[in-house]
Parts: sequence; C-alpha cells; structure tokens
Amino acid sequence: MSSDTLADIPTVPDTPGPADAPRIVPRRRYGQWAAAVVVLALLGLVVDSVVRNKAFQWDVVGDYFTSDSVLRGLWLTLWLTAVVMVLGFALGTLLAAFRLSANPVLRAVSWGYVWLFRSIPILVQLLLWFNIGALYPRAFGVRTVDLLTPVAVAIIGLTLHEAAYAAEVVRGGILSVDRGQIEAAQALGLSRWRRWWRIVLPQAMRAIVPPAGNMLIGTLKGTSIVSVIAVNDLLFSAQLIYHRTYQVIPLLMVATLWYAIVTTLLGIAQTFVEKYYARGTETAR
Amino acid sequence: MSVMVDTRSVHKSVGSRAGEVTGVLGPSGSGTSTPLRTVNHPEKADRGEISVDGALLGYRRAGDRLYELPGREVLRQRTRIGFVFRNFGLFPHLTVLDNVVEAPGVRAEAAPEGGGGERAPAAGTVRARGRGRRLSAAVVRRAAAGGAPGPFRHRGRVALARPLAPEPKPLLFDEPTSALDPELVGEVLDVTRDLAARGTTMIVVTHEIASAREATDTVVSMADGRIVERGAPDEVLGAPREERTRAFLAKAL
Repeated sequence: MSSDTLADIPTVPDTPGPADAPRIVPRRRYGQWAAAVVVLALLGLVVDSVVRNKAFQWDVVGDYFTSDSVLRGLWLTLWLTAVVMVLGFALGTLLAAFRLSANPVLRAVSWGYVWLFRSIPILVQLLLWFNIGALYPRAFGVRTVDLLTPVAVAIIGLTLHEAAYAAEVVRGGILSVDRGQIEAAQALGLSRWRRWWRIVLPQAMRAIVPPAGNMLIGTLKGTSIVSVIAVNDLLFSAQLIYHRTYQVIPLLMVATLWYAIVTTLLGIAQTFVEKYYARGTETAR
Repeated sequence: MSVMVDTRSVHKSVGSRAGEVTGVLGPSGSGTSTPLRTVNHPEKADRGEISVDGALLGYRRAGDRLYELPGREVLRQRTRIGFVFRNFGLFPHLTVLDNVVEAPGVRAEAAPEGGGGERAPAAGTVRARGRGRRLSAAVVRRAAAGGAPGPFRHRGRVALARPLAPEPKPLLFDEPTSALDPELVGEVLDVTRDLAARGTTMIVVTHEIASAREATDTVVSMADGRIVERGAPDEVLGAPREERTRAFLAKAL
C-alpha cells in the first residue's frame, strides 16, 4: 500500500478515561426475564409434545428419510425447481425488457402477459395444460397427450406462472438503477449491450436478488402442487408410500424435513449472493 | 487539435469557438444544463443542428433533411466528447481502474519500472497521457489498490480522470465543482486551466461566479430557459447589461 491512502491519515487514538471515572450500571429489566421464561416454557411444551407423541413415529421417518423413492422424488423436485427458475427468469427478463422498451406494442404485450398469468391460479393452469388435448387434440403431427407428459406440463405451467412474477421483479430491479448511470454509460460511448450487461444489470441485481431468492424458495415448495397431475416429486413420492402403508404423518414429516433442509441451504446461499451484488454500496462496507 | 462546438439555431445555442472556454451561468432550473445535454446526450434538440469540428452530431444531412444516424455511429461520436457529470456518475460496482478504462478504446497499461516522479503502482496504471497528468497520480494509486471509488474526495478525481482517458476533443462540464470541497475545487480549476492552455474547447456549466470569471473566455447567462446575455466574463459578470443577469449575480454573490 502506498502512502497517501486513507490509512495514513492520522486519527485521534483511543485513550483510556481517568481511573476514578464512575462506573455505568445498566438498569435491570425484570420484565424481559419474565417474558423470556414464559415463552421458553411454552416452546418446551410444544417440542415435548412433538418428540414424545408416538403418533409421529419418528422411527418410520428415519426409515424412509433416505429411501430410494423419496430421494428420487427429492431429485425431481430439485431439478424441476432449477429448470422452472432458469426458464421463468429468462422469459421474465425478456418480458421486463419488453415492458421497458419504447415500443408501445411490446409494452402492451408484456403487460397483458403479466396480467393474464398472474390472474390464473397455478393449480387451475396446471389442470388446463394437463387437459389441453381436449382443445387441440393434435399438434406437430402427434397426439397432444403424447407430447405433453405430466412432467412437460409441470415445466410449462410453472414456468409461465413464474415468468409473470419474475418480469415484475426484474423490472423493479432495473428501475431501481439510477438513471444517471445509463446517461454516464451513454456519454462514455458504451454500446447498448455493454450498458445493459456491464452497468445496469449488475446494479439491478442488488434489488433483484432478495425477491428472487424469495421466489426460488416459493417455487421449491410450490412444485409440490404438481403432485395433483401425478408427477413424481418429493411430496408425491411420500404420498405413494403412505397410500400403501397408511403411515401418513411420518411420511409427511419426511417431506417437510427435506423441504426445510433445502430451504435453509438456499437461504444461506442467498446471503452470499446478496453480499456479492452489494459491492460499492453502503451496505457492503 | 482545437475543436469548435457549434450549436447553430438550437433554441439555447451555446456554441464554443475552437480552444475557447465557455461558461454557462444561471439560476438552478433555468435550463443551464440543457445545452450540454443536447450535445452529448439522449436529450435531443427540438430543432437546429449541433456540430463538433464541422461534423454534424447524430444526423446525416441529405438535401434539406436530417436523417438520424444509427446508434453505433452516434456512440462513436460520443466517445470523442468528454462529459463530466454533476454527481460524478461513477459506476459504484466497478473498481476505479474499471471506471476509467470502461470507455471504448481506453486500455490499462503496465507502468514502467520505477516510473520517475509519480510513484508507479505495480498493478498497472491508467494510461495517463498529457491532459490527465495532474490528476493521474492520485487516481492511479486508487486504481492500483483495486478498490471501488470509495471516499467522496477520491470520486471527484476519478470522475475527472474518466472522461479524460479516451482523450476527447471538446469537454463538457455540468457543474463539476458543485459537489466538491474547496480543496478539490482548486484541483479541478487547475486541470481546466491546464486543459485550456493546451487549447481544449470546453463548455462549463457552473454556479461559481469567481471561477467563471477567472477561467473562461466567454460567459453565457441564462434565465427561464433562454440565453439573456453573452460576452467576455468581465463584461457579463463585471458590468451586466441585462436585468436578469444582474439579479442572478446579486443573489449568487
């Protein structure tokens, strides 16, 4: 480090106060203690009832937790989430670009898309796509039913739904970037592409990541809805087992624990991503 | 080397002769920045034409019509004009070095070993030829440290170094000193004086009467989006003919 940097600017060193300075005694807050004891006691009762309730059958939970069919279901849930997020945000970014473009037709199309797909409940949408064969029996020379397997329907339905929300998240992120940044980039003669990838998007990410992380976690759990069209995800795998063994609660616990574990990991990852995109801003220091 | 900025029949026509420093003064909101923003900015002039060194900006003339140039051509023209923003307009997510070398055609070069008077950083330095020299030492040190623009006083220097890096011909300043402390204001004035001595054409929008008087060749006084007076700094600032100029000066001093 060369001289002339901030580190070299002399500052006033911390000096210990005089030895006979009066000691500061914080006020005791008995109410806080009482509240903590009550809440902990209630929490203890709940945990106790869960742990000692035989009906939870924790040994059965242990048996199935890493069973093949559950892990296969977990794997499908994970990749379905990843595919839906990637496709949803790709389409959403395109829709956001349409919405912010100078072309009134593109703006209207984007607005219409978001309006339509936010209006249809995801469950209704999945059922519609699942039964699309009733409307269009044949497509591309094949029977629609053969073309649209349950997994394909799940990907299409969830992606179209996701894209509508992603479009709004991306649009908000782009609008959060100071207009002066674009003007500065233009004044420097940066191309439209470079302005977008180098200047606007990295700064927009700061506002995009928190809601996108929220959406990722929402999508992870939201994929469980595909169990209604018999897609073998985590929840459906658990259901298949308990339909056979009638151990409903333990298998729902298996699914619950897995969802909680993955959600926790994603939450941790999100923290790091947020830190990365906060570079150069107040929160980074 | 000397360039002329000509803003013929634009509503607020603030031209600058080659090698001349033009100061634009006026109360906030009187449209002082607009002439600059039409020269190097998405803000388009409603009518009239703007040319730098005889080359029409943003349009191609054919007969009695002006056809908009494709975006790439406009960008190429923009790189030849330097613009210093009021609030610096630095990119906060990029390092100092990346900020300065972001413009097309600017490259970071390795510093020569033991490079003379200015202590040369090891990491590679911004090409600081000629006009950028005064600022380069401080900027280069920040750049070598690899950090973000960081503390405010450094940002002012980086903000000046960035448009100078591609060696643009005319320079436009939009209130360059409004956000700076007195020490940095002096530094900016030094640089502008330096640039003026080398025959750089500059248009400076400013509220600093004292520096306008000292550092400019021509002063343009604006009020309510119109130019009310134009002339040598001694005339316009010393003995203004127009009431609007007098009113502004009385408040500003």
